[in-house]
Amino acid sequence: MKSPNFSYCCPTSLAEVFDVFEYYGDEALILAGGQSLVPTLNMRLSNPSVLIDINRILELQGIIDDGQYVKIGALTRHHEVESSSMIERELPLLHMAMPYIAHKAIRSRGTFGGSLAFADAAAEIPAITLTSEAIIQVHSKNGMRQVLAKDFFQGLYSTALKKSEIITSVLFPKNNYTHYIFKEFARRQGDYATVGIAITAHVQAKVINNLRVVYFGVSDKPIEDIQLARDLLVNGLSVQTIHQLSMSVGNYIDITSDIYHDRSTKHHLLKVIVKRALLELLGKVDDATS
Amino acid sequence: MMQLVKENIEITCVINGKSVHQTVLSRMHLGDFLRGQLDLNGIHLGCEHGVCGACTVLVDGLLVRSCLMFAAQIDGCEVQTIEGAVEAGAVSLLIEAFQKRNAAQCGFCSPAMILTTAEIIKNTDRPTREQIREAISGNFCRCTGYQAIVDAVEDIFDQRETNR
Amino acid sequence: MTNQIQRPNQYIGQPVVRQELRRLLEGKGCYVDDIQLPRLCHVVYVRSPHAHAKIINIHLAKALQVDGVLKIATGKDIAAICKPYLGVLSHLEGMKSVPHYPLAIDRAMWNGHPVVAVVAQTRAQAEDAADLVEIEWEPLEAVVDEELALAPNAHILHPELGTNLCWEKSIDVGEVDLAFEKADLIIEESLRTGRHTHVALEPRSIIASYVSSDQQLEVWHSTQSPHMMHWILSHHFDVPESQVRVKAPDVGGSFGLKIHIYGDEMATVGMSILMGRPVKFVADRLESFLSDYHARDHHIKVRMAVSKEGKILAIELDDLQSMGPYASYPRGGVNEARQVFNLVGASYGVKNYRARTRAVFQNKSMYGQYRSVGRPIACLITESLVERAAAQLGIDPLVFRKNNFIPQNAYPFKLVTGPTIEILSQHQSIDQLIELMDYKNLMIERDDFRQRGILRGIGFASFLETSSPSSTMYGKGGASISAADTATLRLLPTGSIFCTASINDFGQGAQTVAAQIAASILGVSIEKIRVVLGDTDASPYGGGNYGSRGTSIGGEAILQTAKALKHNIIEFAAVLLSVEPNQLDLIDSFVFDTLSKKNLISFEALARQAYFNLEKIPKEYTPELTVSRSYAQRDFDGVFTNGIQASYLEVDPETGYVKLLKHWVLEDVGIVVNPLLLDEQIRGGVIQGIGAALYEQCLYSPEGQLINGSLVDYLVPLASEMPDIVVGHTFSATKISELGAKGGGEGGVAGSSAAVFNAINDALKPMGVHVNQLPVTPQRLIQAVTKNS
Repeated sequence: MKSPNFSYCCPTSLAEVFDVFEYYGDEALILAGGQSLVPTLNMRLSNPSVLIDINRILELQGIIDDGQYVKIGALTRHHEVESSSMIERELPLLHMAMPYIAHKAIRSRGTFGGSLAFADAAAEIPAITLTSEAIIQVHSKNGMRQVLAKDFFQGLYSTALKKSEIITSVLFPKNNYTHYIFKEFARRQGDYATVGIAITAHVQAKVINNLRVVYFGVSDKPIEDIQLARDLLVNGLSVQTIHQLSMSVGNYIDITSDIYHDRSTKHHLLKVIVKRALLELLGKVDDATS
Repeated sequence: MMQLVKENIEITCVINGKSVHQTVLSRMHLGDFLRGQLDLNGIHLGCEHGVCGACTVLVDGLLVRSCLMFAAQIDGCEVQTIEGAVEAGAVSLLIEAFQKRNAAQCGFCSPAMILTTAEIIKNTDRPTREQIREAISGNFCRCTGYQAIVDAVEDIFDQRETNR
Repeated sequence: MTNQIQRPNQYIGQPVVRQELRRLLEGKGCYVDDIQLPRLCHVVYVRSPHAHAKIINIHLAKALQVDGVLKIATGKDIAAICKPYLGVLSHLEGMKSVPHYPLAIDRAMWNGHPVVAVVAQTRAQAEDAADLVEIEWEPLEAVVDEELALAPNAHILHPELGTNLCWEKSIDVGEVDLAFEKADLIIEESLRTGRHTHVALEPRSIIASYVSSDQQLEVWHSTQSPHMMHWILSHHFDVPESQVRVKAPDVGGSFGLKIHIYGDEMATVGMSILMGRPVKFVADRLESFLSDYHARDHHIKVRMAVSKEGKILAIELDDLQSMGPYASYPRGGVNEARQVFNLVGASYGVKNYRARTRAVFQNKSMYGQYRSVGRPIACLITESLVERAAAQLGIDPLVFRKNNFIPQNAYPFKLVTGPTIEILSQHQSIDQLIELMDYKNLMIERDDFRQRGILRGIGFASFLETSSPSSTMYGKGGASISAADTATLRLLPTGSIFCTASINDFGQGAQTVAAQIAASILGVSIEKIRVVLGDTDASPYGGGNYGSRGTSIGGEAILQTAKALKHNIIEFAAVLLSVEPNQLDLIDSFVFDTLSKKNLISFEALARQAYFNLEKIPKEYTPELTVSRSYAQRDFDGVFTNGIQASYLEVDPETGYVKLLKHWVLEDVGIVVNPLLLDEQIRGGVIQGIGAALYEQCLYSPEGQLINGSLVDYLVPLASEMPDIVVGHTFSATKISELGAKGGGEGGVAGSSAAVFNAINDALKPMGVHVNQLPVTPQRLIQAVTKNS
C-alpha cells in the first residue's frame, strides 16, 4: 500500500496555493492533517498529480477571540481545539465533542478545516459546525467569501467549496446557547458514529428558545431537524412530548445505510438517540430552571 | 510559480536527539522513511491506513501515526521513536512493568504501545482502568487482550504511590 | 513432576518473566520486513477483482516499462518450476479437491486470488507497475452461497469433481429417534457463525533467496512451522532438501494464519529461483484481508432431546462448513468440520448421536485453521442448547451441566465419534467457577438489575479443547506434517547451556518455557540457558507450533533431552572423579555429592575437561555433552483439556449494544509450566472469541466480492470494549508424558464466544427473544428484539 507518485510543494502563503491551483486545477489536492487523505493515497484510491502541503501557512493557524465570534483557523489541530480553554469556555458543545474524534494520534494531526472539507457524514466537526451556526470562511485568488454552515455541506463528501478554493477559518458565534447535548452511538471507542446528535438550546426565564437539533451519521451529510425543533418549541419539552415526537423523527430524511446497519436499523437508532438526547436535555433544563 | 518536486526533497530534522539531514521521495511516508532510510525498525507497519497504531511515533512531542505523514513533512521537526525513548531512559520502568505482567507477546504492537502508555504515565493524576483502556484504544493488539497492558500501567502508578 | 522448593533453580510452575520480551519492547525485534539483504527486491501481486473469472489474456507491456521493474511473471511461469499441490488428506474418506498452483493460470477462483507477480526495486515501484498490468477477464458465475452450492442445479466449480462437496461425514449411533420420541423437551436451533480472518498484526511476510550456483535456497519466513516449509519448498520447487534453509525470525502473531501454504508466498520463492536474487513479499493489510485464510464459517441445524429431569438424551446435528475454492494445503481445510462433528455433546458423553458434516467449495478466500479449530463452534452449538434446555426446565445451568458431564470415574472415556478422552476435571471446574465468580451474589445482582428493567445476563460455556495431536491428525493422511519434536542440549565450555528445539515462537514465550524446563532438570540458573528456535539449520526436525503442542510436546522433548544430558554429565563426572554416579546430583551448576554434601566440580570445569583436556580422561570413555531426544504424543489422537468460561454483561435492547462487564475462565491443562505466560495466552484467546461473538465477520457481496476488507470495516476488538478476565485452573494428571503438561494456547478462544452468546440470550430472557447468529451485531440484536414486540 504505497502511495502513487505525486509532485509535492510546501507553500508558505495562500497566494502560492492559488498559483498551483490555477495551473493544476483538479489534479492538485490539499494536504492538511492528512488523516483522511493519506489513507486514500496509500490505498491508491486517489491519484493526484500534485499535493499542496499547507501546513506551513501561518495565517491558517490559531484560535482567536474575535469579538462576538471565536475564530478557529483552518489548520488548527484537533488536539489544540480539545485543549483550548477559550473553546471550553465559549464553545462547550465543541469542546465536548472533541474526544470522540478517532484517537489521540489522529487528533495530533487532523485539522479543523480538513474535517470540514472532507465532510464525512459521520464526523463530529461538521455536525457541531452546523449546530453552532458557524460561518465558514473560504478564500480563492479572487478574495474571501463566507458560507453559512447550513449551505456548506451538500452531500456525501461534497461541500460548497469550489475548485481552487480553500477553507481558511471558521467563525463560531459566542453565546448562542445555554444548554447543549452531544451523543453518539459507535461500535467502538473512536469509530465513526453510527448515529450521532448535537443539540443546543437557549433557555431564558424558564423558556426554551432557539432549539437546534442536528443529526450526523444518518444521512449523506449532517442534517438539521428543523421540524422537530419547531414541534418541541410548540408542544413543550416534556417526557410525553419527547416520547411522542422521537417516534416520528427521520421520516423525511434520506437515511443512508452502511455495511452493518440497514436503513431500518439506522432509522431505529436515530429515534433512540433523539429520545435519549432530549431526555437528557430535559434533565439539564429542569435542573437549571428549578 | 513555486517548485514542485517528486524526489530529492531535502529535510533537516532532529530524530531521537540527533540532527539528521536526508533526501526523500515525495511519496515516501514517515514510517517507511524511518525504517528504510534510518533503520529505525522499532516502528512497525500493520495497516498503512492509520487504524492499527503500530507505526506510532512522537513528532514535536505528540503521538502521530507515521504511516499518515510524508517524510517531507518533518523538515524542522523533532521526532522520537521507541529507540530514542529507550536511549533516553524514558521508558525503562514501563518496559519492566510490561515484562512483569507479560503485557506483550509477539511484540509487533509493543513499541507503539510503550510510546502510547508513556504518554499516559506522564500525568500525575492516576487514571481509572477505563481511562487507561480509552487511551490505548487506538492501538490494536491481537495477542494480549489488553488487560495485562492496563495492569502494567496501573503498576507504575502503584509504584509511585509506594515511593511517596 | 513436583516442585522441590528446597532445590534452587526450580522453574516449572513459576511465573518466570520472558527475558526475550525486553528486546521486543525496546523495538529491537527482528521481523521479516526488518531484514535487508544485498540486491533485495520486492514483489507485488496483481489479484483477481472477480470471485470467479476466466483469464483470457494478460498484457504486460505497459507494466514492464515502469521505472524499477525487474521481472514480471504469470501463473504459467511459476507453474513451470513448482509442482502443484493437493490438500486432500487420504484418511478422510471421500475427501476430494483438485491440484492447484501458486498463481491462477486459467481461472481466478476468488476475489484476491494472485495472478501476476511483479518484481521491482521497491515495493512502491512494483505497485506502480502492478497498476498497469492489464488482464482480460471473462467473469463466470460465482459460487458464494454454501447451501446453494449443494443444490441440484448448482454451478460446479470443479467440473472434474462433479460436485462442490469437498468432504462429508455422517454418523448415526445409539437410538436417536427413540430418544427424541421419549424426550420431554426438544430444543431446536439454527445457528450461523461469522466467517473470520486472523488479523495477525504482522502481516504475512517472506524473503526467499535462491543462489543458483550452489542451488541453495534460504528463506526467512514469518511462519509457525519452519520444518514443514522446509519439506514443502524442497519438494515443490525440486531443490534438494539439504540445500534449503528456512528461518523464522521474530513472528508478529499468527494464531494459525501462518501455518498454511499461500500462493503468493510460494510464488515469491519461485521468483527468487527464476531471478537468482533475494525477493521479499510482505502482504499489505488490504491484500491480507483478501488473501489470508478464513475460518469459522458454518451453517448449523441442531436439536437436542432432554428429559424433564434435565438429562441430555440425544443430539442431532447438521453442520455445513464453508471453504475456499480448493482444499487447503497441506492441512486440508476441513478440520473445523472434523472437530465440530467429533465434539458436539462430547463434554456430556452423548451416546445417541446423529450427525452430518459437510464442507463445501466456494469462490471465497481459502479456508483453514484458526486458533482452536472448530472447537469454539462445537462449544457454541452444545452450550447454547444446554443453556436453553436448563432455562426451559428451570434448572440452574451449572447444575444441569454437572448432572450431564461424563462421570469423573468413567475416564478414559471413548466418545461415540471415535476420540478417547484420557481425563478431565469438568465437575471440579464448575465448583471452582462458582467460587471464583461469586455466582450466588452475581445472580442476585443480575436479578436486581432485571427488576429495574436493565438487562444483565450471565452466560456459561463449558468447553473441550484438543491439543498435542498425534500423527493421526495429518501424517496418517499423507501430509508432510511432523507430529514429533526433538530438542538438542549442549553444555558449553563456560558452563552455560545451549538449547535448540523444533518448536517455534510467535509470542507464546516458547523460549522461556524451554529454558525453564531445561534449567530445572539440569540444575542451572535460567540465565545460563540460551534457546534458539525456528531455524531449520540450527534446530532439529519437528512440527513447529500448531495444535497447542509447544509446551506439551516440545516441552517433553526438552525434558527428556535435559534428563539425558543430566545423565551424561553425571556419568562423566563419576568417571572423572571415580565416584558412584548414583550419589551425584546437579545443583546450581555444580556436580554435587549427595553423600558428602559437597560440590565436586563445576559445570565449567567439567566441560573444559571434556573439550580441552581429554588427556585427563580414561581413553575408553568419551564424554557426550551434546544430546538430542525426541517425543511424540502417541497415546491418543489428541489430548483433551477442559475448561469453563463465564460472561457477565449488559444488553441495551434499544441500541443493540452489549457492554461486557466481566469474564471468567477456568482451564485444566495438567501441569502448568509458566502460569504467567499461560494466563495471558488465555486472555488473548478470550478476546479473540469475543471478537467472534460481537464484531468480526468477513462480508461478501452476492457477486463474491469481499466488501469489508480493511481495518476500518472489519472490526477487531479494541481496548475500551473489552472486559477484565479472571483466570484460574483446575488440574487433572495426564500420563502422556513425564512433564504432564497439556496444551493451553487455544482454550481462551474455545469457550468465550459461546459464553458471551449465552450471556446475551440470558439477558434477553425477560423479553422472550434470543439471537442465533454470530457476530451479535447491534442490528441483529435490534431485529431480534423488535421482531417480538
